Amino acid sequence: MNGLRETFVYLADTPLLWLWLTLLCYQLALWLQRISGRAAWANPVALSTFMVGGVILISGVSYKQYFSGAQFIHFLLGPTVVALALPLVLHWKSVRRALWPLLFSLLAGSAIAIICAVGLAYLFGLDEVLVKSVAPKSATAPIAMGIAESTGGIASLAAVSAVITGIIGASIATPLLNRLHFRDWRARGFAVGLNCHGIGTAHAFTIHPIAGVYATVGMALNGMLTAVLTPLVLWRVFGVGA
Amino acid sequence: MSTKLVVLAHFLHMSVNKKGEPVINALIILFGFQLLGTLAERYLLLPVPGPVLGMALLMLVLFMHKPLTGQLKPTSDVLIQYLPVLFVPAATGIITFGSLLSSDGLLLLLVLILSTLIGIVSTAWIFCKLAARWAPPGTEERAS
Repeated sequence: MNGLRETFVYLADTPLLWLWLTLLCYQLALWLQRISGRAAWANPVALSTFMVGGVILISGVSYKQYFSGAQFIHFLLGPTVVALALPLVLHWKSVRRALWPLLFSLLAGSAIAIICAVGLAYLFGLDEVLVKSVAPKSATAPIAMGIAESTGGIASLAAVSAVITGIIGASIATPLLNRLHFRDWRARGFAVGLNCHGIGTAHAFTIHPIAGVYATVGMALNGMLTAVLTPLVLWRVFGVGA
Repeated sequence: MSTKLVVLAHFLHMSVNKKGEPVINALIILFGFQLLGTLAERYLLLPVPGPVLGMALLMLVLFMHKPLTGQLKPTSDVLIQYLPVLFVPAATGIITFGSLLSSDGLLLLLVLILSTLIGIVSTAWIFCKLAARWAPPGTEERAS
């Protein structure tokens, strides 16, 4: 038994174990999604995050130690986001034709996302600092952290809120929009990308290429707009300098 | 500064050997534009992550050099296909926030669920209403 523990401690220090665990959990999650008939709860990102998180918590390693291995997967996010330029350029005609609907629903959607989060958190009687931390949850995690820092929220809580928002969106968007009979891939993709940033965009690409393209547009534009609108909404609620 | 970046992006494209290995070429371009985007973020002080700026710069260059699209497509298709798994390491970071299981944490979760629901439905609805007037969906853009 001691030998087993020692082996684990040895392996836990190598990046390989955590890299392998991440891929294994994802493969398992894809399999669960398949056998469940693509059920809403079986979102691969959500499932593999819970599985990896569970293993880390049970085995008692720190998140930092896990990330030292998993960072090699994380690193590929950079070039992949750059690669999103391709589908955008290839479907540019469609995007340009929808320019005005896109811009107006961007403004409305971005404001609704922030006002809903702030309004609900305020109604539920949460602390001011918590309200400020959830406000930018529809922006991608690094942007949300920056916004929370500048408006007096907690950066790490803003990042967690953004990740949870992404997972919620990737899990519920498809069944929700199906039930409400939204058939326009552009609207479906744009709504998910705008509200649920990268994780929502990744989900949109697994559903339909057009949805993926519009999710990319929503994610990229709303990241910037949320940085502008969040302080405005918070000022309305708490006053300047509060 | 931004014109300098576009010029740099051009040079980056020129430096790629058209007869070289396609995957290596694609990676040189993608990582190269990520580098440019990171520089742009650093020096233009924009509230946008480097890779997103890199994506915008690559779009500009792709519009000017259409053939480059074909060269990049196989590699970028593979990367985008596996986009979900790339979020798992960062998403697992939520375990470091143990206080989420407190009563405030559950309320926060409720806020996130409700606001995401409302956000998605209202954005999709507004887009559809506006698109019905200005840009009705083509056959490719509609689910059957």
